[in-house]
Amino acid sequence: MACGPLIADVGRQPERHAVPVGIPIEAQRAAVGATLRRLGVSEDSWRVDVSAHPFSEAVSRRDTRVTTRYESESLESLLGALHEFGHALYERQIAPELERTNLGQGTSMTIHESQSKLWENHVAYNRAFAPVLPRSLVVAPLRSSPTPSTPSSRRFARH
Amino acid sequence: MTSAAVSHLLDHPLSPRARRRSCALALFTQTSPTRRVLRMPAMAELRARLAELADLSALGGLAGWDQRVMMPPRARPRARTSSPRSTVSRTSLRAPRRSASGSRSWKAVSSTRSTATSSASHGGTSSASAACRQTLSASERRPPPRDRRRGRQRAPNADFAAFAPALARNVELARAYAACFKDAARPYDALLYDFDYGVATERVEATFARLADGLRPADRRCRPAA
Repeated sequence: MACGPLIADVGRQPERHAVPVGIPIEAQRAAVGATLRRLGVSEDSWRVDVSAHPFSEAVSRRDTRVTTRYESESLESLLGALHEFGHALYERQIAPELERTNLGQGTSMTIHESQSKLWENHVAYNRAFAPVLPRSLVVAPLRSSPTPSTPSSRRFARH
Repeated sequence: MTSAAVSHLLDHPLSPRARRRSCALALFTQTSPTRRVLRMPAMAELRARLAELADLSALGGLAGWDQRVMMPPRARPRARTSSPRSTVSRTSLRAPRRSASGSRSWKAVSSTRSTATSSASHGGTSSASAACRQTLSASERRPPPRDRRRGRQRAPNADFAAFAPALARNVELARAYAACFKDAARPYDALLYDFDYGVATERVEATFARLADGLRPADRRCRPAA
């Protein structure tokens, strides 16, 4: 498909209103936790942390770790978390029989990115996803009283 | 279904769909000739080797997560702990068979991601594979560039020169690795196969050419009027 008609079509679209800036990081953290929890991320086999650049790491099928980063001027934290969730979900759905073999991982970077972009572009950016945000921005984070001094309690709430 | 297959399913509770798939796979693996292949000592040894490599890869991932998330103030101890893991992994990948009865070596290449596919499709003759391993091993044994061991001064804003020797060596190693794949039409194909097996450079270039055709008008529109 040529991109020319697509670009011309985009140019005819009315200008979209940007997401309001200045979202408190605590609210973003709550939104990330609540959204991931809604998607099935539980504390017994997942970790959600903060890193300079978001990434996901599938240590095993029962130990999945994703990261995101928080900035007060954007909702990149939520988009990044959902992007990494897509990577992690793909790895978690590999057949258990293939674990600890050279087939027990994603088949290619193309497929991996397609899974992550599915959640970021087609879910998080979708208009139907917007009603989720106001609710999740005010609910409590997955772990409401983190104690930064103990690593185990930093799960889902580390910043 | 054997009791071993049943106990495996009990130990690995799955969703109904995944359970059906697992049952089908268990039945499949119990039939001949698959059963005979899976019970071959060489296959058992190969699976053990792959499991070991997968465990080492998981350890590396865990160390990488720790480095990027917990980030201790000093990187040198982290490098000391991560380096042996990488060395053991590469040694295990290239080591000959451990059974006393066999004299053959696995036709492994230095890519944990696509060991089986690369070996099956690009391993070539055992002599070529051995020569490739020797080339890469010799290259890895070389001392690091002298500039990398220079002091610990704070990096300036424009510090590309400090990275240049390491970058040059990475390029050199990548070229040596690509040269091991004699049947790749272009050197970059071999590197690309590690990420997307079967996707050739020619196809990627064609895809990006179409994208470029569409992006150029957008780029012109976005540029401020001169």
